[in-house]
Amino acid sequence: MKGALKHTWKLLAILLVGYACYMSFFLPMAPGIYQVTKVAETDTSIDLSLLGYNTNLEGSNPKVWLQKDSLAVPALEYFNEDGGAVARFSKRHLLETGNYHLFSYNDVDKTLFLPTAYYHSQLADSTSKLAFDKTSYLVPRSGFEIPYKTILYETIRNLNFHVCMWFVLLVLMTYSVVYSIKSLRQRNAYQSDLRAEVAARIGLYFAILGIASGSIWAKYTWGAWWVNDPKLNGAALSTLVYLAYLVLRKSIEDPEKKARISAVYNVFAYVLMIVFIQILPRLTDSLHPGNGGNPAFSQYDLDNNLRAIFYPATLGWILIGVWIWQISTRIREIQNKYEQA
Amino acid sequence: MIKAKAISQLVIKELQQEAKDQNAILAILLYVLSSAYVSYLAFNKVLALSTWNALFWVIVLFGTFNATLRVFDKESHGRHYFLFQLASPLEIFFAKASFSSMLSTLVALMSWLCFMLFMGWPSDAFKLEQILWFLSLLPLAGIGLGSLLVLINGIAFKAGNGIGMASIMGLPIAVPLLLLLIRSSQHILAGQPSSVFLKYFISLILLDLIVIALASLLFPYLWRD
Repeated sequence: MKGALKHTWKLLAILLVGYACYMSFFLPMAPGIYQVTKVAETDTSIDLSLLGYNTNLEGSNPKVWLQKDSLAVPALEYFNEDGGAVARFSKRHLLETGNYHLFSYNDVDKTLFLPTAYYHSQLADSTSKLAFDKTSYLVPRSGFEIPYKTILYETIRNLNFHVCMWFVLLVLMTYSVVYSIKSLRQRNAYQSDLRAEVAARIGLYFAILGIASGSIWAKYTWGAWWVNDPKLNGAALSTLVYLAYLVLRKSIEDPEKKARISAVYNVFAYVLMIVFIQILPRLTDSLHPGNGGNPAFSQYDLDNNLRAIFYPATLGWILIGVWIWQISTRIREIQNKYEQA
Repeated sequence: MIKAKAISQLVIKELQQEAKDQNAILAILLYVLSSAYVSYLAFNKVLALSTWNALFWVIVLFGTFNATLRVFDKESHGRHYFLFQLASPLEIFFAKASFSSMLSTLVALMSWLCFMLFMGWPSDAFKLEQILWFLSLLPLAGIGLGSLLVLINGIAFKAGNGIGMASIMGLPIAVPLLLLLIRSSQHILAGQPSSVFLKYFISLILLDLIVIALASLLFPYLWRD
């Protein structure tokens, strides 16, 4: 019974990662409008064509309106052409110039929204305001699904893998530095040193996974495999530091000396990396959400549905990382015992 | 435990050894001079501010790495056992750190003079105030890089001084310092008021303190055998 409890967390790790993987790969994505273009214009009206992702724009009871501040202008007509759904607006009702947001409602998709969808430059020659009660058309979607975000689209699913890798790396780096400090304080530091080294090594694997998954994501959303961003530099430097740590260990023969010297470097590098990753980025801007004036994921991007996948995924991956570390330490210990015998 | 007198005597010992063996200082000066001249030839035009700035700090960075590479070499052949009996590890650390900070500051100063000679001040803001700000940046760079490199070179020395060990260990962790230096000097060179770059300046001082505190905490573990 005691043994069973001891291993429960491993079961939990498998379940959480399994759940996160399943949800990330198979949960459908919410619909969204990704493009609005002006397809036709007459003296009195404009036609806007709507392009949607996963949408049912021809669903029953459709309603489309443009909105700027408190001014909401419903479409006069809404019809389907071969290119997609088209909404026709009367210029007389577009009382203000500037950027309009586009809202669309139908019974299947509920309310969809594309910010700054249309720029209107002509001032209307009337002041007739159309009576329109939009409140009955503002219906949020219910149900469990991956949220839709322009630019990110399906790649938002990567959040549950990419970001988790960094959490695992941070946890393993901390493990490594804690065991390094322990090994500095002990006389016979062989075991702590082994644990610190294995943690650094496993952490390095997760760093490589994090860089790979982030690089692919960056290519898709920011347009380049690598960008000059504080978080990326932090990632690259942590990788370099841990590679240097492993090279340093290889260059020392005597195990006792190896433990002491590499522990000194590990602690020094860890603190400077924390300064680099956590403090310096706050002085500058970042492309990543959450730093330097950029909106955080948690503000409006990370909705409750995504949270219900992301948090378990993070916990699951951390447990998996610790588990790999534990197994790897045990293998090394047995190997060493075997070699000595 | 730490005696200021012991530290100062150790620093004087370092300086005397350096003075006796003059080619070390000369080598550093020559290194800085030739790198500045090579970059002057390579660019062959008036440098933009950001290029000047980046080039300057990269040369300073590599210059300090080269200059401090041999800080512990004098202690080889078992001579460190002798030092070990004479002074406590902390005294040795502070002596070595002050010495290599002096060296690094010298490298930075010489690089600046060479840059002024070949490439000039990179912007129109050649005012006394900006020059003073820039000059006060050099010792901060020297102290930060010097103390960082003492620990790194100590590690490399204890690990048997493999080829490039100090560089591969030191370069990644010198980056926080380097970035802060580049940011603040960019603002100084462009002639911006101090309110703009004061936060970088203060962060730099704090980072220097962190490096010194951390290195002095760890050095005794490294030094004991």
